[in-house]
Amino acid sequence: MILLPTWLLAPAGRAGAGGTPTPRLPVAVRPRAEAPAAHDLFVDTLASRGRRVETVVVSDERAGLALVAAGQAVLVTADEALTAPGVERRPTTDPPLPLRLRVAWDPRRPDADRTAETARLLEDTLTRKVAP
Amino acid sequence: MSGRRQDSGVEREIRGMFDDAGVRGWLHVAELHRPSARVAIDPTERLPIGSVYKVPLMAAFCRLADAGLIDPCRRVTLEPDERVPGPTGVSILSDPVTVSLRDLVVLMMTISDNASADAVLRAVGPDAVDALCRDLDMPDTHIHAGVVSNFSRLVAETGARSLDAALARVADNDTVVPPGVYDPALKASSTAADMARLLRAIWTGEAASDERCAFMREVMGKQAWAHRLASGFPYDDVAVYGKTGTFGSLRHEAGVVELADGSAYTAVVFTQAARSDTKLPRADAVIGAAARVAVEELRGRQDV
Repeated sequence: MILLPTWLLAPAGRAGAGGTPTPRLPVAVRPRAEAPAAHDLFVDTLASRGRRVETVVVSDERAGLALVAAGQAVLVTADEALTAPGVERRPTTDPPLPLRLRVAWDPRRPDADRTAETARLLEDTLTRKVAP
Repeated sequence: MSGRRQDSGVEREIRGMFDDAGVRGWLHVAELHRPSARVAIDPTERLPIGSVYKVPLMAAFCRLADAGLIDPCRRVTLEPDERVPGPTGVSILSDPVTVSLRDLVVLMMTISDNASADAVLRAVGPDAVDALCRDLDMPDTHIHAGVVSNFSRLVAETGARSLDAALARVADNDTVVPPGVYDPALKASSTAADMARLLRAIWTGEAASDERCAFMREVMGKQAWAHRLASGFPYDDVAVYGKTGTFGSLRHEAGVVELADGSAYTAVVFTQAARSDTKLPRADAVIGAAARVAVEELRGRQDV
């Protein structure tokens, strides 16, 4: 499993200690149907800390960022470059909210050996990115 | 494996429910007395069944009792240091416990007590269970040493130093489960179709004598949990009988649903969650919800 670090983007002055989202703002999230298990794991990780988790669905991270810049939401992102004026960035540490990535392929497909090689390359590159 | 292109509308709906719950699902729901009327999703794919193995073990026990080869009233003492670990029952007690074999069957079925199940399997023997599975045409069911083989294989495959460490390893969302952990070989394993056949044999009196089949049905009706199959039928006038099985990200139940009008259905739902968490209420609940949709479909067809 490759765990990419994430950051909490919040309106300036609104991010709590340790990157915890402030309770009053909803978390901008992608539609649950895109990946129900990953969505639920994210929300459950926040909810298990005893805080009410409100979410607002956005079509992509740019839309999420716009909400943050407008002071209407917070956003958790693995994009180290995503930013806008009036947006503050903190590492998510409590709770940790890593972006979990696995490279998957179908070994029964023709040319699976080369696909596996490409998958290994991808994994190596991503792993180096996490721990250079 | 059934081809997705041949899915009927209800099978597509159920696959959508499994997706929404974050699980892969295998399902076999059929009319008890007309098993060709069924809803099925990959029903002949073999996977580890966790504690569902206790159902064929119970049936083998009943056959031996019928044949006079085992005394159901024989009392056995389970010593704490010889007991198999588990989350319930005699497994979590501190002192020696003396119980009759038939009461051990009740404990292993109603609260899935591993220590009781292991004692029953030692009395019955894996060969008797294999013989039952062959006789009832369950070619893909092999229970090996039951919970003992499930646990020892898990420890070996994870390379962990203890069972607790192995269980923690497979419950971690941040690590990839080592290959082999969910391989049915050498673990108690079966298919949804095989379990449906066994349930039918218990309900029609083919699995053992009438008296002992009635005992099995009664015990399966007293299972303590209602979070899986029974959660799909939350009505006082619907009877749900079942046995759960849990192993890492696998959550299963095999049982029978009896409606107030007397119609009855075997219902076997196996799931594997994308998440590794030990607590996943959505994955538990989709077992009942999927079975419910399948029963509604079959009941609807009967009205035509």
